[in-house]
Amino acid sequence: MVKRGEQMEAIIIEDLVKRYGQFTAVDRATLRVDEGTVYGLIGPNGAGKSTIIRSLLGLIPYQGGKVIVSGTDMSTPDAQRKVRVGYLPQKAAFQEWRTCEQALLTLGRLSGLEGERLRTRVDEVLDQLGLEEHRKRRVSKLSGGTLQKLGFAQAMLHEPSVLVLDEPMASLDPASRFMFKKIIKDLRASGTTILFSSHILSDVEDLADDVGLLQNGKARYSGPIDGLERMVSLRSELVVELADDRGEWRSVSVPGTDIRQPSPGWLVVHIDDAAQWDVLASRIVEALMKAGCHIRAFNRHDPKLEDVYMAYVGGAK
Amino acid sequence: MSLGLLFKDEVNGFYRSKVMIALLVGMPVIAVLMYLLSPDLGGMPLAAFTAVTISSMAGLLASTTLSVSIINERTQGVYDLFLVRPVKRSHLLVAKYLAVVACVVAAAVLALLVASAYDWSVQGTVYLGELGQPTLVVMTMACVSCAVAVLVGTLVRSVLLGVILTIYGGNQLSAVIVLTSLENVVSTETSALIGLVLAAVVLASSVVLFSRKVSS
Repeated sequence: MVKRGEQMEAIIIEDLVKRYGQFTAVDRATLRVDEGTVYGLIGPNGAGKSTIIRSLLGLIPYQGGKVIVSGTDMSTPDAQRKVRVGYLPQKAAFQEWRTCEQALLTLGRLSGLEGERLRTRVDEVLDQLGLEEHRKRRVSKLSGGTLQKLGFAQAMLHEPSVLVLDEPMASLDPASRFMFKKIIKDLRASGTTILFSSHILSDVEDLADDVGLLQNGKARYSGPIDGLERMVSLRSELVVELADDRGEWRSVSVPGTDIRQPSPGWLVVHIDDAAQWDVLASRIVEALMKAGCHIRAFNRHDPKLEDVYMAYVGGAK
Repeated sequence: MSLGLLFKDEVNGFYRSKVMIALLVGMPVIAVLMYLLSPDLGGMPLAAFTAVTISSMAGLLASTTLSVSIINERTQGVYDLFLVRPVKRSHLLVAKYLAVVACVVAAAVLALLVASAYDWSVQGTVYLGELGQPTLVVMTMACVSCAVAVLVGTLVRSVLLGVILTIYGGNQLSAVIVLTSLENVVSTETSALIGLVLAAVVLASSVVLFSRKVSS
């Protein structure tokens, strides 16, 4: 484990380079994940998320840089012996002749679990993921969502200190997503370091302490979500719904604000200085009412990770 | 530790597969049927006839299954879940290979024993001494064709191409080795030794390639 300030770093990816022939999939990417935190990896398709994850796990070789997990260089031959890592791929796959229980027993034994401890852990993860009824069912008979649950079960079976999840919730129904998120929060609370990639930005916003934004194989940002928001300088907005829009709002002008009409009956007010938000928002509402606008509702809209992501990836920055 | 565990696990999987049912039940049944339906075998005992039949069938079935299984598991990412654990890449392939060869040999021995029991019930004699060489031939062919199947499974991503290469590569190669003894160029034992060495070289090459490719 490496110390950064007061926090220990469970995962260090430094200047990672991965090429497939002439194509550079990952271009000098640097990411750091603190111990006991949840780190969300986001980026468009082909940005290099899965490649970074597979390099991190030692599943594919890389051409440059270093990957250290829990203080162990993952390019060394016996790295898997020293580090307890759990991994859930995008699509978890098992040998089809196995039952759920057999799959977990084998992977548990290979992770060093034995006897009663192995049995207990298998029972626990099957119960946690609601797979008890599928215990004796063959893997080939399982639905995609159930397979993904089995994948999550094997990933956390041996209680790894670092858990790596590649698009863990992409193929899940809402109830299963809720279950996965709860388990991730519980694991974080118990001290597990979790790195996951996702296209579902609301999930990242909900779970992650820090995020890494990848684009064209480059790590554009790594750090807290609010730092990313500051980088693209998106402002909070006041959204106003008008009951009877006759254009009276056009005469309203409050310094430090900018009023726009995205569609009839709706106004969006940008406030330049976020620190002045409370003062200026009430002034705007007051000015609109004085101008004769009939306000049906108004609401504060803070930029979501999705807005930040779209602003960044979409080329706003 | 992982090799023993993986071997036991693979035997368990192959033992339950439809191919093993075909090997255990189908091979003796086909041998008996062909024996009964063949017009003139010159008094050849069933055991000897079965040995000839299974030497061509067992390796073919097993090697094709082996290459298809490796291609599917590799392309679906099954091995990733093993490789993030303290499991050597070489052990994944070697365990699979040994498991399939062991199952084929077990099935072949069983078929020969059943045939010998039939011979004993009909003729009152058993030709166990004459079964040594056919058994060696079966083992050699299975070892060579399964090693080629592992190599094909490691290199190819298309199941169809894998099957074609395994059938034409593996079985033809194993037949060529065995023919050296049938044509009395070398003894059966020498041909078996050549086959085992060749199988070991092909298997070692597969392991090296699998480790270099790294990604399953």
